[in-house]
Amino acid sequence: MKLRYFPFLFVLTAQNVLAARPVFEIEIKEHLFYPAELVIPSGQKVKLIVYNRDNTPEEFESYELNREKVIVGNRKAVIFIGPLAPGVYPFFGEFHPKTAQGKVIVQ
Amino acid sequence: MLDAVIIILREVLEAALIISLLLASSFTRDINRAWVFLALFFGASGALAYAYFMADISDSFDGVGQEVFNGCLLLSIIFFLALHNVGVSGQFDHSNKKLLLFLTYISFLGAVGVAIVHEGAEIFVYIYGHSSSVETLQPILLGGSLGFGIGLSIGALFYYALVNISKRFRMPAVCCIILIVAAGAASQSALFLIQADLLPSQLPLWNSSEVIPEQSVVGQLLYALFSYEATPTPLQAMFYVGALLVMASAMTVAAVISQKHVIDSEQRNIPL
Repeated sequence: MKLRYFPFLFVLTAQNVLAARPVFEIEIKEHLFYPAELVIPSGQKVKLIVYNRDNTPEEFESYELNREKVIVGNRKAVIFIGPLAPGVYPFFGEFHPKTAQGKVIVQ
Repeated sequence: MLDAVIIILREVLEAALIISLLLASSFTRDINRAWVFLALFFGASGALAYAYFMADISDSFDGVGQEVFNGCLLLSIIFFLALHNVGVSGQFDHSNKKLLLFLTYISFLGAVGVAIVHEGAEIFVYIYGHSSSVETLQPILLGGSLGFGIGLSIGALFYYALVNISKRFRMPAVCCIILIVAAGAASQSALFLIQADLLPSQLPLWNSSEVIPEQSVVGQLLYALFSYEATPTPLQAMFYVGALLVMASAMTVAAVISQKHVIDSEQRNIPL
């Protein structure tokens, strides 16, 4: 392979590494999400960090976002969502679905 | 308590459908179905271990260790299901009976064991999370037992539906459904890697939540069987189709090779 193709290939494969994802944070306290409504930009992948401040585990889940992840007590989880079209995408805590509810508003 | 029923039911259902498929296969091929108890034991032990180390596993790989581990579990399930289907297509019953039986048991134990590790870990974490007091634990155990029972019943229904298919069509039907289950597992593993930002993400191909919402009973059943998604991305669809093609090709190659072996032996008058 000609040497001059390598920088092009490097950029192509390093897409995920070079692109800086905007970071958003959510906390779980007493089986509730703070903030319950999160606003994120449309059309790009964002990094969501969910801090579980409770002692008990929770599962961050959303049908609309197609994401599910178990977050053990007093730990955090990294979840990537998007790119999303503008709209409202609800999520919930599967282990405590009655209280832990929130939505991601994409603008 | 109702939440516990649904949560446990969902997890049990996913594993129960794979177990029913492989038990039906075992029954049709006159293989003793006792392997399922061994698989249950290994699966439950593995699930306990995964649940115990969940925190450390999740924090590894820069915080996406859970997705990586789940992706590996799903890939293992696909491998064992592929091994099963190739073993059936190959019709290698004639030569090396012991090796074939050994590989068949490996495919049964592997697929069921790993499926139980994947689903069981979440059940254990859920129950442990509510175990701080008797007041919180009791409704969870009650609801969980109910959900477990319902999941088992649906699995049993599925098993009896399968074994009631006439013998001529039974193995092809089981293998076709296993093919679709494996493809679903492939698209689900793609989803985990997308969630971990190890694979690129895209806007979904379509949105079928008007027709079959994921939250509906039908949607949940379809999700349990072959990872139905209302909004799949192109990459997930590619993994799905790719898995189908690769497995179907492997099955065809196995069938052709074993047929040639049979014909060669007949031509040379060599007993198989």
